[in-house]
Amino acid sequence: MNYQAYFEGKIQDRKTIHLPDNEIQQLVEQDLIVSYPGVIAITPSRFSMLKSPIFQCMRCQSTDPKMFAIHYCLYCAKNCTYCRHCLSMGKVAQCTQLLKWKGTLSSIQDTPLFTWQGSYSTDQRRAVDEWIVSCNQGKSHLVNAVCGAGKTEIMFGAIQHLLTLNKRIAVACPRTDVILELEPRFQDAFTNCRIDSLYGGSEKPLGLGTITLATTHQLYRFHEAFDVVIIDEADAFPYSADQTLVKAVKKSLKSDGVIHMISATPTKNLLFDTETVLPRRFHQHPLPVPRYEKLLTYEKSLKNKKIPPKLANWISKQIESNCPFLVFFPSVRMLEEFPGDLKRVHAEHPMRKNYVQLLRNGKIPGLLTTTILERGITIRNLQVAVVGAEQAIFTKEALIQIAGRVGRAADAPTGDVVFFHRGVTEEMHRAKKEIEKLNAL
Amino acid sequence: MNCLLCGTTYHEISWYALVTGKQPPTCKDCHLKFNYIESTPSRTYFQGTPLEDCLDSVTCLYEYNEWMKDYFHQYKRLGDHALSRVFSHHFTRGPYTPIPIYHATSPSKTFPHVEAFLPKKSTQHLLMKVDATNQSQRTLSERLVSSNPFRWISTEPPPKEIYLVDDIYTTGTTLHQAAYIAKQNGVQIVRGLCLAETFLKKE
Repeated sequence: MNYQAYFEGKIQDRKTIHLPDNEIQQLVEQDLIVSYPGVIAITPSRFSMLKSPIFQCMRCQSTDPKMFAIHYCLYCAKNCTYCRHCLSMGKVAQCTQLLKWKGTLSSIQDTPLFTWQGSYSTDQRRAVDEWIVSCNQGKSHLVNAVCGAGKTEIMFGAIQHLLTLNKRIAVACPRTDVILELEPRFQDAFTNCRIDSLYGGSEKPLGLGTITLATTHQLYRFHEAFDVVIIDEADAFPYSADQTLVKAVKKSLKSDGVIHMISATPTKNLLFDTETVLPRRFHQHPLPVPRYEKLLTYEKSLKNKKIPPKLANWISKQIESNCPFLVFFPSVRMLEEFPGDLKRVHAEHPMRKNYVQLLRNGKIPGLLTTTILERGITIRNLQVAVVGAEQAIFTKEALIQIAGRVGRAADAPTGDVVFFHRGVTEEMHRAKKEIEKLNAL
Repeated sequence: MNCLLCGTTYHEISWYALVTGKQPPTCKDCHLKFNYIESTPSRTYFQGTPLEDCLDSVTCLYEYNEWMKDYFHQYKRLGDHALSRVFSHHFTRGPYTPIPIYHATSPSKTFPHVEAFLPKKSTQHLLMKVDATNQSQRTLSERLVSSNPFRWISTEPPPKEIYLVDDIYTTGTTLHQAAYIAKQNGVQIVRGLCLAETFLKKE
């Protein structure tokens, strides 16, 4: 039985391992695995202001007191605390026994071939070369490339180089749809290479892949598994909001591992050694600049089930000229209460992928959406409107990403980006200025 | 106060909150996702069987919609005990008799999910659940009786009226089988109380 393949790089619940107790005990004695409780209680020191213990989950590293709950547990026959933060991956409690591999790590077995068929623009080639230099120096690198610059292809170039250095790589994405979109592209670009895709509900294969595509949540399962973690969309939810995810990425890296990041809208809190800036899209055309349109009474009109005329006219114009369009709303409630029978999607909508495909194929004229579609999707000749652009949810990053949905195709490099608002905010202003600045470079 | 379901922070301003100092367990958006129906379902499935008329009345509080399905997945399947506070405010009086879980320990069942949302002081343990998968009988009546997993465990004289509490009401078999055992052991009136009602087979 190949214990190394079974255990290495992962944190596993004893209950999910179908090996007898004596075999586990033997492995512990041979110093190949170490067993430790799932949740520990850290009693405060005598000098601390706190009276009650703080809990820490040994899988996701969370210490947020709000995310722990206690109850009389039938399994261990006493009151036992469990972690609510990483509950979706299986319950981890004080009585849970977690197992971690302590033995040597395997080296990559397959010999991957780079079979990507495309070619790089000058800018993309420069980005790949700069990234390769950082890789060779063991430095952490940020690729700051605008929407539609071809970031995924740049990532292929860097990964190809890392594979020649025999590195085990993980690519962390904020959402499952991004993983599902990337998987076939990776399979085509890297043959003879084990590529694992992990997301909620996916199969969890034995051992470690050479390339692992995972949602950041899935990274909680890993411990000192990867040489390199590339964080895609490094500024996106949930990284920025959730500190434990930063810790999770660090924990999944080997001790000498490196984190790289890709983003079109990097925020100040990202830490890296070297940076590549790519202000041009791969087709060299400038980014579409958003325009403002006053829609001062939209909230009241929508409450009375009336679409404000400026918005209705914009939608009609897109339908008449046969241009697919997206209308972004600040809340699910406003989205659902919008009159008319245009299809709508939001994060929890089960038909989301289908509707996006319908829009792409021209079967529906347009789609109403929340910020869930602000990143990642590519539709030719798309036109975009944002209703309520002054609302807090539309940060500078969100607005830049939304504007980035337009003009991605080489034969349709322009399009309308309109912010319907009740007053121009600082975020709207900064978004517009940044796009103009990038176009001037 | 953090919503137990979506985690957002909220603060409700109401007379109740002011006077009692208590906040509701979920935020308003999550609260609105559930559909409170207070239905009284009747199932004709048990007519002509010994289980007919064992259950004198049954009330289901909520519809088993998409949100209720997610709630039960997180509460029962993932084992999030903290979610017992989401609906416990419906069960303040009592005495209640919860439908028990299978008596033997299993690594996945770390707490009795029906009992967890009932107030401890007004909970009566009158039943236990054993393994009873005898499906080889020919008629529906025979199957319903032989596959009854409930046993009476109380040694006290039986109460005149009991409220059986369960989580999901689908075919009604669970409540009817439990009511049958109760009536056999001297209870005169058995009323059923369920959190959610569904016609679909639950996953």
